[in-house]
Amino acid sequence: MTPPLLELDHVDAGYGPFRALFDVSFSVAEGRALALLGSNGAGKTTVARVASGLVAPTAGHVRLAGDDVTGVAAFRLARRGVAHAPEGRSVFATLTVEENLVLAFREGTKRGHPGVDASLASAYDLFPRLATRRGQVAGTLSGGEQRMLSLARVLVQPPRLLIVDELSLGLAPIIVSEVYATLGRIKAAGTTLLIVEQLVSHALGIADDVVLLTKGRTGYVGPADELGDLDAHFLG
Amino acid sequence: MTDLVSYAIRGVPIGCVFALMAVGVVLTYKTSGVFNLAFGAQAFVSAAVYYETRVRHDWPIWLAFLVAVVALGPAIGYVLDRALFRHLRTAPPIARLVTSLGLLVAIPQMVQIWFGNSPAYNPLGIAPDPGRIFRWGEYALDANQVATILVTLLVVAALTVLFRFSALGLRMRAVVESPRMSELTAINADRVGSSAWMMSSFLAGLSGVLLAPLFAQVEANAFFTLLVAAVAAAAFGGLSSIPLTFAGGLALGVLQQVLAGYLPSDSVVSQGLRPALPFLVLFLLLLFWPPLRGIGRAADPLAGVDPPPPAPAATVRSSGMTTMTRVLAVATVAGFVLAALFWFDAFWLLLFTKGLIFGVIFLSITVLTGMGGQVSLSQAAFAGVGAFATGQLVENFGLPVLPTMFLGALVAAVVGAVLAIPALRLDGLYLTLATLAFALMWENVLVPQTWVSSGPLGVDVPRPLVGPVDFTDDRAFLLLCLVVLALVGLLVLLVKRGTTGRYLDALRGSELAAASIGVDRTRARITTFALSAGIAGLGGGLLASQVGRATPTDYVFFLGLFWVVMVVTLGDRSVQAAITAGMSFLLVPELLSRIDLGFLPEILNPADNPAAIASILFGLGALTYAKHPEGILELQTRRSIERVNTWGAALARRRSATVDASDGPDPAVANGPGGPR
Repeated sequence: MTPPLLELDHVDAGYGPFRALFDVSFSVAEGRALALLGSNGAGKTTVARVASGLVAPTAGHVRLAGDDVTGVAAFRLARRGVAHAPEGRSVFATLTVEENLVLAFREGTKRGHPGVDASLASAYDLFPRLATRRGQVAGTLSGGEQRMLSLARVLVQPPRLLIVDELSLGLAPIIVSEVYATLGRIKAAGTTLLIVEQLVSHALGIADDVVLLTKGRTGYVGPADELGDLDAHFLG
Repeated sequence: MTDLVSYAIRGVPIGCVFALMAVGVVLTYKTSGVFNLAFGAQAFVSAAVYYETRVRHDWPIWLAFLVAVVALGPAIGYVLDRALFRHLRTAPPIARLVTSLGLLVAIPQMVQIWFGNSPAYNPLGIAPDPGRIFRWGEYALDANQVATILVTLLVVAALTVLFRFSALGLRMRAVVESPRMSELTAINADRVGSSAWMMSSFLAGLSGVLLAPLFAQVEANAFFTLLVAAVAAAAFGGLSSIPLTFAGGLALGVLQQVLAGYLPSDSVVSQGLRPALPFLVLFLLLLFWPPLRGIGRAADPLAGVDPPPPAPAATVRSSGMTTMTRVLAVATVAGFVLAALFWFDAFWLLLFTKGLIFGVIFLSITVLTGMGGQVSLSQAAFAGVGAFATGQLVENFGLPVLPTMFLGALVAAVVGAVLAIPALRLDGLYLTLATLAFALMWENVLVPQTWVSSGPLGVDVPRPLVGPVDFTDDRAFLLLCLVVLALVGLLVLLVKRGTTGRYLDALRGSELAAASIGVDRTRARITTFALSAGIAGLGGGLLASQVGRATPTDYVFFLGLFWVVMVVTLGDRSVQAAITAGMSFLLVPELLSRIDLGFLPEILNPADNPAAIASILFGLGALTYAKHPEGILELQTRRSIERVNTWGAALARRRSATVDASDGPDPAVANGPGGPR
């Protein structure tokens, strides 16, 4: 049996004296989409950060395709195909749109390189709005455009595991639908997804599995279609 | 016409030197987010090593250059990054600024310890044949000047290429903005950060070695003064554009020489304007240059991943402890007064009085930095304004000394407010740079004017005479200083707890949020600036009165820098910390001079070199600021209070346990060793 692509095994984590996660365990199999749901302050973002190496767990283990990657630096995980689009306007505000996009290329950050050109073209295909603003400094984009850019930025190099944090936040409903359609295509292409989301309906539309998080602890962990009534989990 | 060209050509090598340093400063700022005030100090390190090897040990040029610039420069950068700045990437800008200030104070002294105090005359350049003159037509440049121009052009070209075309340049900019997000983009932020520091330190070393032949001898201050011109050029480049920075440096150098050539050398304008040029240019650029507008650093979206150290929580003191500390405080003050009146000899009396006066001056830093969150490098200048104003008013108008001191403080406050009004458009770093420009302008341009200082001997500031009390008596004067200190301390406390203090707290947290609840930023800023300048001015007046006169060398710029470093290190949030800092400022070197470690070489022995060693101690102490922004003193206070609290709690627990046991009916206890037999 192949090990799951991402596995959190009894993970505790926090920031300085504040503890955010208590004994969190779940795994995502290759090619599946997992939705991480929970109310404000439940620890969803911290789970995403632990998964991408931004926050090192204080106890427990993180495994990537069976390898123990607990405490491995974020940039090394990124090189192994873990892409994380953090919540909020996570763009390099002083760089131009195109500089934001080419930053991730290991082989060079100039146009003219075949890989770079193709990836840029596909990113602009995905978000045509960005193409018209490629020379603009990212900090001057609108909120929605910045969200698009931060998603495009992690997608220019097709990841193995894509972690998206609060994708719908601050986006117009029509763009949210668009972005989720994009996520569907990415998933169909074989990318594993970890979706952190408050907007449950969209996330459940795409997720195979669900993890419910309450006050830093895991509640329901299992297939999305057996979740049942969500309110019962939070209220009951 | 020929004149103009030849003046301009004379300015080119100097302009290149300005440009080289400016480019280095911009590079450091762009790639590490640190405005490295210690850049000049780093340049000095390489210049000193080059001098030591090339001149004192007669090494060949290439070897000396290799060691002093190619090896040492990047090595220093690497160490600075690993030991300090790597951990400050997500720290607030003020922490980075204070760290570089600490380095600026400590590094030159450390180099001096190794380099020796004997003057290093006639530094050599890197040109193999320094006597060679390059001529075309009637214009001429010597070999070192040509070397400087060539190296500068090379550096500017290389850096322009780096930022415009290379992946590394782009990654460096990304890391400055958000190290965490860069990591998510598969960038090794630590390595990119290290290379940025190594590169900029290399540039510091290079400019140090190239600059050295400009001066008659290798010494740290020269490099610092140059830094102002460099900062002006960097400001011209908007702290970002390498070619514009180069152009700015060049223009400044040329302008300076052309002005020198055309203005009659004995005119007031020339005497005032020429040395003031870099400061004036910097000041005007800071205020009006559009590229500097709205540079406000982009906030790191992932700053929350590495939260800054938690704000010092209010420590809970039991009522018993509060009483105890109060009694202790009163006893200390009373003991001090008694000792001062009956026991101290003249020497210690002088020292302690000075300590009290510095307590007053340092309270000005508590107001501006601790409460206002702004770093000013011109506190010494404000103290000077107070001292000279007092002296001139007393001398020219025959006013009584004591009230005039307060008048002098008022003058300083007005100067501070006037400086603050334009500076209101500035924030954080730019405000600090504006105070830097003002402080150096004060020292180099205003102080030499006779209407300010009455010449190099200074102006008399007699001791006050109030009715029957003659403060020429040192004991009486000490009591006067104590009273002034108490009053100023009380004033600071009142302001801190009053509306202005609350406003400042809010502004420190978030200017935007503060504005949205109706906090008047302008008023709060001007008030703090004026108050701070006034307090410094009052202290300056007292200091002058103690000595009997105010001389131009009493309030030099570097002293003000050292003061900030001291107060920030010990604690800029409380009145007690400022007073302790004032006392330490005088007592630490005095105590060090009594520690005779004869087995150490003379230069390392505290007894022989107390001032330098104190500078190093406090300079390095400032490096703790990032970790403990409340200051060492506050930190220790909090820790000991916590310790006493846990101790007291344990004691209380044990006592209640024995009480329970003695009146409980438990037979096991009753029959125990302590029970009835």
